[in-house]
Amino acid sequence: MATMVSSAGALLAMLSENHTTLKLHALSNLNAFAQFFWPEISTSIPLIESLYEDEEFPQRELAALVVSKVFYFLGELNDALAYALGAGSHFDVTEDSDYVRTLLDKAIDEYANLRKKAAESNEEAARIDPRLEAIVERMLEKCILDGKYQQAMGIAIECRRLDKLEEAVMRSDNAPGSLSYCINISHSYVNRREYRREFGPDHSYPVHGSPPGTANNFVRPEMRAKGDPGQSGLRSSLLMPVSQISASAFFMISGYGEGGRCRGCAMVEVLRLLVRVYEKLPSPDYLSICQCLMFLEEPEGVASILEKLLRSGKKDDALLAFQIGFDLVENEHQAFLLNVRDRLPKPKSPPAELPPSRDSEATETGNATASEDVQMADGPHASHGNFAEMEPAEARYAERLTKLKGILSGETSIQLTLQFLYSHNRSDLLILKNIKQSVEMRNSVCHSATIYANAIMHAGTTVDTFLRENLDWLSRATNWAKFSATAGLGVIHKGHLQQGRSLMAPYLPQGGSGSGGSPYSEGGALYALGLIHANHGEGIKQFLRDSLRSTNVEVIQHGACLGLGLAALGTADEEIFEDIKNVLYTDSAVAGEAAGISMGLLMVGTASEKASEMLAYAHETQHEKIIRGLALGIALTVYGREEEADTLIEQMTRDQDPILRYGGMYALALAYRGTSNNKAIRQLLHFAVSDVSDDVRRTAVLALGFVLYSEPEQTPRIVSLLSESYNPHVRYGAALAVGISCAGTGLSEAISLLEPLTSDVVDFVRQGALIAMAMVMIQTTEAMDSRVGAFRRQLEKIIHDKHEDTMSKMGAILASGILDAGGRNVTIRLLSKSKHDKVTAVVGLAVFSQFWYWYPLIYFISLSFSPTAFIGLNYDLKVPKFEFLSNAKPSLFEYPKPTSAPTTTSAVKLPTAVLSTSAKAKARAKKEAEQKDKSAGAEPSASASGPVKGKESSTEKSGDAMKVDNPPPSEKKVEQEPNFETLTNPARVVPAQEKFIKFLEGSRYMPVKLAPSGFVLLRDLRPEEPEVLSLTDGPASAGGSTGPAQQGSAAGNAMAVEEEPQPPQPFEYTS
Amino acid sequence: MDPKLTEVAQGFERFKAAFVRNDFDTCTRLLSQLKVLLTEFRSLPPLFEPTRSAIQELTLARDIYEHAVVMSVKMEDQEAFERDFCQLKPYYTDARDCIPQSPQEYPILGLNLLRLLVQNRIAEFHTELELLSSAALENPCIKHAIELEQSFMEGAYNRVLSARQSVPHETYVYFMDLLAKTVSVACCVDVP
Repeated sequence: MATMVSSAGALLAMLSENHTTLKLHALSNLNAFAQFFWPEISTSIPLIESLYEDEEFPQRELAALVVSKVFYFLGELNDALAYALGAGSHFDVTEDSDYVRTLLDKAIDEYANLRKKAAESNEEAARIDPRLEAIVERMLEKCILDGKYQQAMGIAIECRRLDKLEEAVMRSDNAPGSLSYCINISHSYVNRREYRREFGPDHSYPVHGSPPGTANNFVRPEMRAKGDPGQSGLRSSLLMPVSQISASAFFMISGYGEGGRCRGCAMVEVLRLLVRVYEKLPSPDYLSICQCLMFLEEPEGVASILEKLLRSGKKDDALLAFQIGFDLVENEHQAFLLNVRDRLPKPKSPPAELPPSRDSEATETGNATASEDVQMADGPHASHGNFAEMEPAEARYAERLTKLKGILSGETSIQLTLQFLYSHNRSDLLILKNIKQSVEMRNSVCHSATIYANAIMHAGTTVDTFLRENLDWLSRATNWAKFSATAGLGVIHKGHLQQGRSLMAPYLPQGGSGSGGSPYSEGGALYALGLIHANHGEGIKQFLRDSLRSTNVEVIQHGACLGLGLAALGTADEEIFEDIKNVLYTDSAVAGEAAGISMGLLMVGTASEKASEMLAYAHETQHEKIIRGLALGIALTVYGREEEADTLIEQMTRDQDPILRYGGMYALALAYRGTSNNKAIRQLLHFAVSDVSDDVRRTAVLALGFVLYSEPEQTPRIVSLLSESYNPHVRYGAALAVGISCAGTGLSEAISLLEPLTSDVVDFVRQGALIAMAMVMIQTTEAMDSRVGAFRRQLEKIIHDKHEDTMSKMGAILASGILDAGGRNVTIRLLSKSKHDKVTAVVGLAVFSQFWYWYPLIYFISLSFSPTAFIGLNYDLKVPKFEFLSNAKPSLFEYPKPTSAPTTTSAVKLPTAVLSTSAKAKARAKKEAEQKDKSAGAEPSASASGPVKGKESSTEKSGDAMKVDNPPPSEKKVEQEPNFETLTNPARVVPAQEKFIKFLEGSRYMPVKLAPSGFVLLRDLRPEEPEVLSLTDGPASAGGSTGPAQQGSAAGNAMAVEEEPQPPQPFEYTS
Repeated sequence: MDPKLTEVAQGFERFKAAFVRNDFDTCTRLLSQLKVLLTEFRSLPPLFEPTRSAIQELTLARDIYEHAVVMSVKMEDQEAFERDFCQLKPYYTDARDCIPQSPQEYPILGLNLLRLLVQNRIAEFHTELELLSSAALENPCIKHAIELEQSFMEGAYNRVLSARQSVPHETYVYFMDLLAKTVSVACCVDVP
């Protein structure tokens, strides 16, 4: 029988006894029962306090503990902590109680605060209570002993105890895992480095104010997910508070980098430490080290690691180096990659060769770009010739270096992507055909929308069948439509670096005379070249510059400016800038607009002085188009600069001119891209509801999408109210914001938010919603979300509906293009796998969202496409045959079924007379058939259509009894859908599928890195067997009719040129 | 029998002997020792662990505290009374189901009520009253205290004074005297 005391009166009475033993007895019992009797004890606090203050009393600390507990229950956390510190060793950090957890949290906060203050004011940490420090250290020790290394690391980072962090990592049983966890935290905290200031110290730890039981509500779910991945298994005395701690770590950490001056300086410290720890490990994880170094912007470190790996005798190390290369390329950090590449030491060649190679090195670093094409084609060739003279090790190094440089320049991945997209192209021409047939010929908007849709649908696949088959129809495109039709070729051939120029040759301006071609197709061709070479335009820049200089037709200038901007994205090339500026100063509206954007593209993320120059001109000129172009350009220059951009943003958002304010919105969006920065969000929301100009309001809402794309779950919530605004511009912005930030996620809330907007009363809102919906649903199958199918049907209906507005029709056409973009093999991805933002993709979407004013900018969306593929590569950077598993039903992720040819519905269906008897018989037969189906236990598979099966079984039924006796079990089994699917390298792996990917044990190849998608190097476990390569089915494998560029690279370059698809024959417009 | 329990029992015997002799110095000394010894029993409040000798221990401890209360009255020490009574109370309330009721329970409860009356802690007096069962309220010792309080409130001081003659227990005299003193002062004020 459990007897409980009902009152602490007895114990309290005992406290006033004279005998010390009795007092002790009372105290220890009070301590044990404090959580029940704290209200009673609270009246006696002075008595217990006097015991604590009594120097004679042997157990003062126990008294302190009791007082601390009572204060804790009274909600006086500061007093509680003060007394808990007095309790010394009696305060047991291992105890599993709310009291200990809360106080530990408080203690750590306090300590971290003090440490932070000490670090900021550069004083020595003398003011920190040693008892506090002791508690935190005890806590850390306990975490480490319990194997909760992640918690320990979180606390250590938060408290800026790098020594402890190192200790935690070194003592953890899984050091590499811990390190990657650390990296995750540190990455998140760079993103959130503003957080703390935003919330203010009072709000970052809302736990303090709340009553003890409800401690943990504040931690946002996704943060918690980040904070303790894989901890769900821990029963955990500390799970709750520590997830909270790690979350607060994000806040805390953000307090480090005050101001833009020291951009996450503490993060740099942490990363440096991580790199150091990594290097200490017996088998360093170079992949992660290099990621760290990239964030640290230390190309030397990466280069030296790569060199070490390349020089190693083992093949695996070289594979690893290649893998690092691919991973770095994925982040699209062009400047850094070039830097790494240039720092890789040349192979030691005989002294006679030395001077010229030095020379080329010098020119290359000086010019960084212009000679690139030559170098790529030339350098390997030269070194190849010398292989014989070199030692074997050097020769091997040289060979590997060539490959690595190919990877780092991004060309290898572009090449492979191109091949993948070409070979796996599953675009549905029938959709286009239907669109083409249903849009009115004379409606030029829909006509060019169809051309856009075609280009997007085939982006990067090099398949231009549709255009070829419809040359007559195509020729209706005149003027700017012709411009965009030609530019569309650039999207289709995106990444076709070697042959881009020869492909576009027929449309390019012919030297000097300017005879023949219309300026529109010439301008479009230049734009197309830019799209083909986007962000990798070293080979084409010179040509574009020449074209720009040699013309004064504004349409051609327009195309050339856009092309140059794309090709030289983010290079900050002064000469090109000057050229474009000259165009700008001609004050021609069309060319000036492109020049403005182009300048921005050129200077992406540099925050250079040029911005003020551009701003000055924007004030000067009369042309709205130019102002708009410049506004966007200025916004692009501050890409990712966060606080540094604040002055400029302030300047722009306060401008009289709504177009500049509109640019200010873009500046906010791009400067704080993907940071979820509260200040930026607040500002944007403010403009979204208060600006006088609809354009500004629309853009402000749209910009939210960019700020929030790293947390797509948040966006629908934040814009949900705006999506119900009375102002159609705001609604449009809300739709696109969701489209941008949730692009490619197939997020259910996003779809729910967009659904009503697709049938809005205002035509352009419908347009925006349709496009946004397509962006969200890209690569989402109907099996995953049934609304995808409904959406496809809705698009079809809109396109076919005669009474639908042109605007929403255009939206529907574009949406069908985006939905099936890149031959149904690409998705829109703004973050790389290592959570780095992809500059090109973000910039692409930002300019794309400008299509409101200028349709040809639609093509910029192709920059944000990234292939959803697993591409395994062997040592030769070829694609070997390799199989792996996808542990999910194939139908879940398969390509959408091709649309069937429209049946002639023109025949009017006559109502057939149905006799009641036959109807009954039919019904009976049907019922029986159904029952039979059920008993056979076969589910209708996705591929087999229902009616066919019904018929089958009914015939079976009507057949004789002997047939019934042996039902076809084998057939049924086939119909049963398997629960897995074997994929063959290179395979399409959609984002949602990634978690189902499994690599088979005992297969010939072993991935170097267990990544479910992207480029993965494969280790060959049976090198003696001959390799079977896939991806050799390019049509060009037989033909040798290739341009000079190809021959040049074929010599020594391991670029698998022979696998490249043949350039299609040029076709001419009949204008 | 548990040696510790024997030790306490023997100590208690000695205490009782001294108590009968009215040797209060010895009593206090012994009591203090006993209390310390009692802290070692895990069956006593607030732990109430069901050990084998729990009932004996509880009974003995209650006995000791009851004597302590009575002694404090004899020594006319109100603070000690309160202290000891508080420690005794759990044996009456929480341990009621474990051990048979003590014959001293009602007299001591009544004594406590009386003390609260004397100290003019009327609120606590009524709180205590609420906690008592109806059977307890019928007990003459308790009834005595209740009637006293009523007379006191009504201002029927003569009844208060006469009640001194009909005390249900000899220990009540001390508090009754105190009460009488208060009342006579009140009367003096009342009857000028």
